[in-house]
Amino acid sequence: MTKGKRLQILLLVVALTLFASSVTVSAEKIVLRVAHAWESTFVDVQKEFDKKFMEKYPHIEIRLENFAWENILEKLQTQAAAGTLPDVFYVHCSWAQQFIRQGMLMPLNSYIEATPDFNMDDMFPVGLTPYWSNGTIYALPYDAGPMALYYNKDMFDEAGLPYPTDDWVLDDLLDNAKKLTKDLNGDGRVDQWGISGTLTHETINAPVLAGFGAQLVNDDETECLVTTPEAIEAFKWWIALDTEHKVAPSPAQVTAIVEPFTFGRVGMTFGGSWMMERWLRFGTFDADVAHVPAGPAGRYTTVAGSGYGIAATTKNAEAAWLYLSEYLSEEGVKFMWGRTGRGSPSRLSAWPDFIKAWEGKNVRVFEEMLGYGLFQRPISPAAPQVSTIVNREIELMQLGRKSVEEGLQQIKQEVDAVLAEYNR
Amino acid sequence: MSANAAGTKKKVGSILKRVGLYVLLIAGALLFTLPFLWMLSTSLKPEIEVFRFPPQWIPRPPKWSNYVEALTILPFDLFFRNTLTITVNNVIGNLVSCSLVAFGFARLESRFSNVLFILLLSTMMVPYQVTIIPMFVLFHRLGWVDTFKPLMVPPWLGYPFFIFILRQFFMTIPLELDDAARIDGCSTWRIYWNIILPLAKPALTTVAVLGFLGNWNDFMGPLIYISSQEKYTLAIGLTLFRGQYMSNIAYLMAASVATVMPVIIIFFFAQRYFIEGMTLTGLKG
Amino acid sequence: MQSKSLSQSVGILQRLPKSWRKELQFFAFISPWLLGFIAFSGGPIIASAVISFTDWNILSTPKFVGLANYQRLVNDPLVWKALGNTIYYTIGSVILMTVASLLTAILLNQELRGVRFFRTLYFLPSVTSGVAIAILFAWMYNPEFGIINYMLYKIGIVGPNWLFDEFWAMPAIIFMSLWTIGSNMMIILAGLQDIPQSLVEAARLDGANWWQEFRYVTIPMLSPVLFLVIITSTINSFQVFLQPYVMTEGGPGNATLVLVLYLYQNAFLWWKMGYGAAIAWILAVIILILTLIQFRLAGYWVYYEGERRS
Repeated sequence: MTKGKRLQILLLVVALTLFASSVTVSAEKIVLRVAHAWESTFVDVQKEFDKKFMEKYPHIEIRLENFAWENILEKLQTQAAAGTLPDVFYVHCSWAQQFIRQGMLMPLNSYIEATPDFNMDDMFPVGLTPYWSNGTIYALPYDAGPMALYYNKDMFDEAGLPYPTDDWVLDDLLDNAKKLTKDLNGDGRVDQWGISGTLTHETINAPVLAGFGAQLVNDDETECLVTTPEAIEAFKWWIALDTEHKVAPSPAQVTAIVEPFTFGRVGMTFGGSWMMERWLRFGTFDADVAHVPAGPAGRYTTVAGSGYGIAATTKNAEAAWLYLSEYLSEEGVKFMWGRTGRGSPSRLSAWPDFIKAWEGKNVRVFEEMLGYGLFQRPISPAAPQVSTIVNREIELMQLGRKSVEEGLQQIKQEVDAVLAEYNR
Repeated sequence: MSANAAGTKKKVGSILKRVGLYVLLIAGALLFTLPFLWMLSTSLKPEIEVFRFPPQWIPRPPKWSNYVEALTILPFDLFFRNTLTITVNNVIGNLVSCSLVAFGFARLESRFSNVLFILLLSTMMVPYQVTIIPMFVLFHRLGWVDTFKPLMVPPWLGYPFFIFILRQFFMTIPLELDDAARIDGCSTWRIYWNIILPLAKPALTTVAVLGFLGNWNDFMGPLIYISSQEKYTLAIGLTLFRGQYMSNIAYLMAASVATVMPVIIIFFFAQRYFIEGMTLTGLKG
Repeated sequence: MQSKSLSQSVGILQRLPKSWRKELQFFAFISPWLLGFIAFSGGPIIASAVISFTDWNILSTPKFVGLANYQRLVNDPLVWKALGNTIYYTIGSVILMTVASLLTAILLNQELRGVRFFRTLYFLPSVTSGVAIAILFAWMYNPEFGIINYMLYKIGIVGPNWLFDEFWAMPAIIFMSLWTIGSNMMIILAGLQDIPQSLVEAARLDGANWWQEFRYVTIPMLSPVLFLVIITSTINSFQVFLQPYVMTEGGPGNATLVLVLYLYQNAFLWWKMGYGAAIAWILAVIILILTLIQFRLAGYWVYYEGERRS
């Protein structure tokens, strides 16, 4: 065989492969594309649910599409631009208002009303907040995760300190943080800290600001309120943990990938219920959760979460609703998130199972926090840009590169401009 | 001073040079393998040990089962087959199309040659972030979305970076060879096939290896065009170890190590063609 | 019948003027790329240019706004900041990467036992997927839990905050690009293998020392390849995205905010595709101008053996 012939055959084979891959399966079944953002270890649970669903409704075939959380937004945007969104897809709370504004999501009110079995009273109202727009609901949550105080039990034991209690106030937090901050190896540099993770875009509005009676933006989300006296006082108190009391590791040591609480070098940290897996199950030390400490204006925390919606462009709205209503039904939530102990379920009825899954840990505090939790703010489409600005300035304040007043002034100026742009 | 002493001195010099070179080589190798060694070390730890500090370089005992678990948690064998199909097709496509186009730009005369070459390079200058949506819309209209076609057809139509590489290498081959061949009655095709391609083996090998590497690790293409899990590639599979908050770092590292192995092996053996190219190019100059 | 039409068309070809025949041949060889450009890559590029003159948030109908995006861009301090950072990164990384890949390629071109093994080791970081490497580096650079400062500490140096220090963040990212010189190194290695041994031997017979050999044989013979490496590194460095995206998100302050990261934030996170496209096109035009200048300058230092000189 000559070289030329071999090449020809090769070309032919390639052409055939291309042709073969284009042939699609034809079936009378309704094919429903459902997009998730699960990490690989959780996909099996999803597949199990889908299998059960398909057994119950043999006329529907579920096609699972799963992408990493950090990639799925781009994927959905691209698909939306071409009008080929999956029928049912994952919606993070911070994206919801933008999705609604762009007309990506189908209104669900009439479907919910037509399905009496789908019990809305069982869902925590705070978990539904981000999916409402002008009296219409566009997506439904599977979890509602409050921010709690995680603490390293081993470290408290070693220092001979009692664990955080439900009646802690900010002074308790500071006192304990001071006692936990140490130079373990005696080289003159602190290598164990009291607290970390206090100022992230998730915690700003609450507990940080709300605890002092302040808010990041007004209720209409038209104005940034960080320069009110209450807000300045709040920021000063929290930034002082870094700059004055030095009980927190520098932001240089705290990144999403490398997080000092995970390394067992920090006594306490703020984290959402979604961090349980990392810290309570895969930690190198014994840890637990407690309520966030109360500020002078009361006890508040932030709630975040995720849900699912139906594409406005779907051709199988009935089947898509059938799937969504089973997936997020009392049974579905129990099956997916209750018994597995993953995230904190959006439905009250799944909590007994969830608490059982975390036996020995104080996870009931999450359920209690859903009572006084506020939704992450702002929720408008301006939110991602606002959080970029706020994070950047907080980092500079914590590093001591800017005074609190300077930083807040900058936040106010930039955030006001962004809010004005989105409200135009 | 005898000739013998001078010879010994020269010998000592060459031994010293060798030792010096090895010291440099080993120092560089340590620097270059450090991230990989960390990756390897992490891949053999139980998840619970990943974040212990200071790190234990040699996990005791090494958790080899990470590899089994990481690679069976998702159908990685299927992802491997998909990646291999796409990569092999694309490497062949790149070699064929890019060598033709590069030959045109390097050896054939045209009034439009320079303008078109700049146009070709310009397509590398617009960041993909802003062309990706129009590109997706285009492939969607063609009905190619969620098939391998958007990934496997374009490589047959050239890739600017590889065309540039081959053009540069073709341009180092003396023109007298073409002229002599033409006098002997060779067609342009024969010059391309029988003279230029054999002389450019090191460059073609380079393009093949880089093409293999680029396609093997390509992440953006499959992410955008593929939706069904049975069509995922290894690069997509790897990202799925990272959750929004809980990442399985040990699994991620184990799967990463496993997926780079084929590229490393290919690179190790492809080097043979460098040497082969050198002996052939002894013809020139 | 078929062969008749073939011979007919060949006849037509032969009757064409010689310059036309040459053009035809040229276009026949570059046709794969031309076809690809017309069918796939050209359209989306033009589309992105059109988008840059519109207000478009991905799903709405694009609204033509003329030069508004470009006007806004000129007055956006973050664009200027990002441009400065991008230039800083490009200068640093192109120089560092070119020199480092040239030196390592020369080292790896020595006839030594086991050199193939060493080449493979040097290639390792370039083979590993970008995201895994970026995660590893973010970890290695961590001042408290990273291996770099841990090792510095062992020899009595307190390392900086690296990615969180306004001064060190960009050098840290530039320094990281050193680990990915694999493909440049390989291209240069192929170029080195391509230098005829006879030339090297002739230079040695004439009594050239290693510097003269490097300066008067290696560099000129390698110049087409070095030119390639410099051009493509410049194009790629201007579009740096992954490292700041994964490791710093542009911080601290805006110390590592580069143009593509800023356009990504605008286009995908804030849904301002029109503005993102305008930034992309400013970037593309800057790269194009630089490339044209480099092509102009190439006449002074790049030596092609296969070039027709008139």
